[in-house]
Amino acid sequence: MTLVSPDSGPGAPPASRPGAGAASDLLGSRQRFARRFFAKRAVIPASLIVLAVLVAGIFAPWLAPYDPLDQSLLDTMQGPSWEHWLGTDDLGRDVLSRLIFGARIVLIAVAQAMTVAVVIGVPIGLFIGYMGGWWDRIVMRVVEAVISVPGIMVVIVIITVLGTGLTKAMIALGLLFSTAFLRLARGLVIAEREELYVRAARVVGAGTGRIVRKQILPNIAAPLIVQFTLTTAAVLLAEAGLSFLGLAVQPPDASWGTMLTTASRFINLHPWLALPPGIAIALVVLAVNLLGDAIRDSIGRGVGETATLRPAARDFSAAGTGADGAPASQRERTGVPSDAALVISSLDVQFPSPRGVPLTVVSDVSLHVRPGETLGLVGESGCGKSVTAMAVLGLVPEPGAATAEAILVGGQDVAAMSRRDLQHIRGTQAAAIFQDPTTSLNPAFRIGDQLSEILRIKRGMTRKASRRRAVELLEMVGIPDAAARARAFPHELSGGMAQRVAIARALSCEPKLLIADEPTTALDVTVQAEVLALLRDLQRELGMGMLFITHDLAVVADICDRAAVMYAGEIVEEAEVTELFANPRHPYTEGLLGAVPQAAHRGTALRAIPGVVPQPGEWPTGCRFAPRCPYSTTQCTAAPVEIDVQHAHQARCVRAAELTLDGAE
Amino acid sequence: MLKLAAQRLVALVPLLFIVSLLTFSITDLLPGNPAELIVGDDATQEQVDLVHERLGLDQPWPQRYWDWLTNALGGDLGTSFFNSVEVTDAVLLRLPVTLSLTLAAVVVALFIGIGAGLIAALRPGGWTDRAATAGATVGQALPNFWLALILAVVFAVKIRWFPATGYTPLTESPGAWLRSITLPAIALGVGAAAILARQTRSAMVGVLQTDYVRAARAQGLSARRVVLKHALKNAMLPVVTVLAFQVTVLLGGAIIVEQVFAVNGLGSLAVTAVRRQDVPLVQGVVIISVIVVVLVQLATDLLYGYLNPKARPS
Amino acid sequence: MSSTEPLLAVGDLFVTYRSPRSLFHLAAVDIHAVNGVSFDIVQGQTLGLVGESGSGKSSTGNTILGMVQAESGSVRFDGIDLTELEGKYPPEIRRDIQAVFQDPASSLNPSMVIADIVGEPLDIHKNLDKAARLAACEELLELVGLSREHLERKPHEFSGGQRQRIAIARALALRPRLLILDEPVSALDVSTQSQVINLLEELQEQLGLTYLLIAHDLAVVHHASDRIAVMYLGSIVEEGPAEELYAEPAHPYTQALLAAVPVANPVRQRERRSGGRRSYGEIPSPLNLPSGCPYRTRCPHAHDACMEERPPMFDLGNDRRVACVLYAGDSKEIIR
Repeated sequence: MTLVSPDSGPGAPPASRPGAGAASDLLGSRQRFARRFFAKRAVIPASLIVLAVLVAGIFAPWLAPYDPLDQSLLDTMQGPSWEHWLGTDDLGRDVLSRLIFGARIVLIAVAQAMTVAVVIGVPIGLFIGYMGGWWDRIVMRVVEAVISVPGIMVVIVIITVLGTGLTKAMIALGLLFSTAFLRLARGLVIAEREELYVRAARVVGAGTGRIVRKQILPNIAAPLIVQFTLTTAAVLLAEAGLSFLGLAVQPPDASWGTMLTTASRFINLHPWLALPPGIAIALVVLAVNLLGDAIRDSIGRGVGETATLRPAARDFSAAGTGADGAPASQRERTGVPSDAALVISSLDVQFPSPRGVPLTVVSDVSLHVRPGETLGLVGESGCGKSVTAMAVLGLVPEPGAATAEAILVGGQDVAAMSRRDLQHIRGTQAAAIFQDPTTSLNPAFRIGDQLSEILRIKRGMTRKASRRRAVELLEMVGIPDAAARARAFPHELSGGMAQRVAIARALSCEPKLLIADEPTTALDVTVQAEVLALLRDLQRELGMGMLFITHDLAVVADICDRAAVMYAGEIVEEAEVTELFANPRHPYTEGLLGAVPQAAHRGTALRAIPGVVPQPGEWPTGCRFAPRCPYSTTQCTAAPVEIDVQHAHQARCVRAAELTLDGAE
Repeated sequence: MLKLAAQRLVALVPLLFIVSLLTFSITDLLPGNPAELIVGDDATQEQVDLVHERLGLDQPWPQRYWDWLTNALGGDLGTSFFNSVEVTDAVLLRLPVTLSLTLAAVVVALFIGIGAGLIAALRPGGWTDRAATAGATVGQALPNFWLALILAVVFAVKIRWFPATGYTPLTESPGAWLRSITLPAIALGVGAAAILARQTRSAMVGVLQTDYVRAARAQGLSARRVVLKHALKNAMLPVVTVLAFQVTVLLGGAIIVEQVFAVNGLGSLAVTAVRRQDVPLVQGVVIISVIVVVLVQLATDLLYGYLNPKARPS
Repeated sequence: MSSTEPLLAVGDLFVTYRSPRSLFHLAAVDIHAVNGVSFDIVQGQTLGLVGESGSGKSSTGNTILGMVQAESGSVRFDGIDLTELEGKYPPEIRRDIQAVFQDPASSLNPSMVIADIVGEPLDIHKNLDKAARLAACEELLELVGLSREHLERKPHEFSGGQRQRIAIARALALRPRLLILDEPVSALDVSTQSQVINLLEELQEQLGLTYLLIAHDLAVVHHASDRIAVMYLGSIVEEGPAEELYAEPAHPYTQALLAAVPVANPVRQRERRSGGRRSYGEIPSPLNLPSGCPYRTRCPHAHDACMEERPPMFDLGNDRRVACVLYAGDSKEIIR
């Protein structure tokens, strides 16, 4: 790109993102690692180029073999030779020497323009960003006006006033590019100002100066440095362009831009002249840009794209076979009916880790869901419950990989399926609803169209029939005035209504299995009650099995028939809900039940589970709950604990038989 | 949509006003007396004063701005200091040249940029991604006027596929127009293509990680459909914003590239005006290009409103 | 009212947010976030402020902290009306009123180490030498169950529960008297949530703290509060001692809220549900509040009178108040 775009910077300031699950955090760090590594390869040559320009610029008189202005009319327009490594120009001046002295111009130009840009842009940006109000409005109107004029025109207007010449042109450029720093600094401050930690600092009594200095500046320094680098590259290009036009450096002084002016005049006679300065400019700009990118990518708190990897949809790479020596979990399972809506046998999910050893986030999970039944999958964040659910649809987030003995959806093994068949199963046999209904609907399309699309594609309906059916579906999930609401966009709906639409979409092809991944967590309690009631009604009507993922035991008590409790990637207990809540057999379940606030009254402490949930990769070898378990003994930590599949009420605890644990109140 | 168009149109009026005010007041800071420049060194003081008065320079600043503004609203941007050419005529004569070059460059940028960005985003980390990213990085670093020189040498001088210089109006001969515009458009468009490619890639990678894409996949829509329908429309939002800005950049870039191909567009007009400190002409060029930019912004605002229902007025 | 002088007395508080005026919306849109809220908190007690999203509970908390300006009404802390200070609290008041926010991931500055996060209030308010500052920070961390080895780490190295402990330590650094707890546990997992609730209760006892606990989770509020005030669309609809209010909710909205919250016991939950399915209706937009009683659009008992004027607070005895005309007959006196 070329002349004068003050906007080559790192876009909008980063939005802070709520912590994603453990698995995605791992992915994030791995991705960042890979990117940093890739960037680093380019960093060394890029730094060398920048260093070369610095050295050439500073030591030009000593390095250059000739005086850059020395003419020799006998040796004009020669190609490279021993005397003149890069040849000579139309006046017989040595091209290499001119190139080296041109580097000096580059340094002067960058120093002048960048000083003006930063000194003017950053303080004003910080000021109007923090103060807001009229200051902000007036300054921003002017800035908007300036950036709506093509950059070169702005510079031309300023040069008209100041006159031509390098310094004057660079002041003009600096003024232009100061708008980029101003806007970036302002945007960053506005984003930071809203951060909770800035409010927290105000609450402890920090004044404006202290907040800007201590809380805001350290967090916005990185993006400003990135902007600095990228603007430097832009200044380089702009200086060359302005010199080329004869508005900055004036002949006979050697700058890369003026050298190209000369080259353009003799391009037909001696095209060689265009190569050295052109390549020099391109290389330096490339190097500076690469350094800017590398800095941006190595900054942990992302400027630009943060790598919190959410599902990029990966189909099964390989289905686990368990051929060599049947895995420990390959065994007869009690009570798995042949008509089950879902059967998962020995599911493992792994993610590649920076250390090379794959990281297991779900291990040996087996469960089943009968038609018309709701199985709750309960656990705290990072226990692997959502990843398990996504594995059913073959949508484990990239670059994770799921392996399983079998995952039967309506009797068909999705773990052994081709991509195409799997795609067919999704929606028709198994469908899903997610936690945040407002983000799980596509913001760009009307809700009716989102429903009818599925009906057309998955059920082959005509456009007209699918529209009619879409309205019926919306009526089915209790959307008032469905025909009119079908024309609404997702952002025009409340959270509860949006979740109803998501349910309608999921059920549009009457799947045998509905995966509900924390579908009420983002909703208010009264809305939650209605959505749960709706799900219950629809299940009764359509007879589908439901895999209900939640962290909320009260919701489990409300909607589930059976529940499986997950901890650190594995199922630790599974039973009918009444049995599970009344007589838990795993200490973790007991702990969760005791931790529910309504279980204890004011004045009595809640039963807390000490410690924190271990991250994947930090799981103990024996019982994974042992370090936090009040009942643990040496036998618990000796070896991995198998789940006791003999009972209908299964528990993964070596002391399950001897312990008497407290149930729900 | 009409409402949005009306809203945006009205919002652009103050912008034009501020630009005109800024341009007028900055050029007014010009040191020295333009009248002296015009009449030359040998002129007498009376001659200078006469010209001074004829140009209306003896009026107070607000009065001159007001006169200029009222004339400008009537389409009269004044007269050049040097050759009594109407500024409006001079600019409008050159505008189609620069516009067609800019437009052709936008087409180049859109095709290469969005295409490469999409291909890169579909397999992040794969070889297509790395190739496209590397290409974009290099493309961003090439000075457009240098690229123009190289293209001219290779495709016009060595293999004579295209003319090396000059411009044929579209109305004269569409074929010749296309040939005359191809090399400049590529030279100009490559940089913008690189930026659009990076933007498309990062937007697409972001959108592919959203809940609604996951939901669409979970509903059994094909990867192709999810990408080209559900994801693309959303991913184009930031791209449209960048595109609007790039059009401004391209309009500026055209000024330089025109010089290489000896195309008589706004570029040579502007450069000459600056060198002679021909204030009315500079003002005219700036105002007309801002009007073009503003119209482009209007178009992209409407496009944005089409892509993003939230941006539409309720 | 209680015989002891309240530490915090909020009286008829109104908070209005104005959307910025633009060329096309010449009339500013007002969002009435808080509409005449009154409550007292006695020294050493916890008042739970509960409500759904958009109820104005956080705006109330932010007004007490001086982050948001009241439109009218008073916030008397220890006898001083904070609304008159217009957000510029003198250091002695800043020291007395501190806060813990919902999301510990964003309430701690990612680029600062724990020693600086916890030590910042000390730096601002107390001029401690290096050793004393370090000792104070260590003591604070110990108070919340962390240790000195954590001092030089950054927030991202901690789990959610630990981060919330750090936020609590920062809030306690100046030995405040009143803590505004704005959804302090709703971002945490169940098992960590109970740890933090227990910690807050221990600290209250140990340090004699007064809490305003803002939360949407009735179970948390019920467990941790002495008194509960239920907010709906900017108004308090009911207030009373936690046990009584929870056991016998008076206002139809409180009743609905309690009915909607499932209990973590399948047998009891199924019994509750067998009473029949009920519809709770949609929350009206805060841009367009209903006339009269804010809850009337969703209330099964609503009649014409509810449309006409905002119901006043009726005293039900036993220190309980409710804003519903259903109680106009048997109430002893009308407040307000």
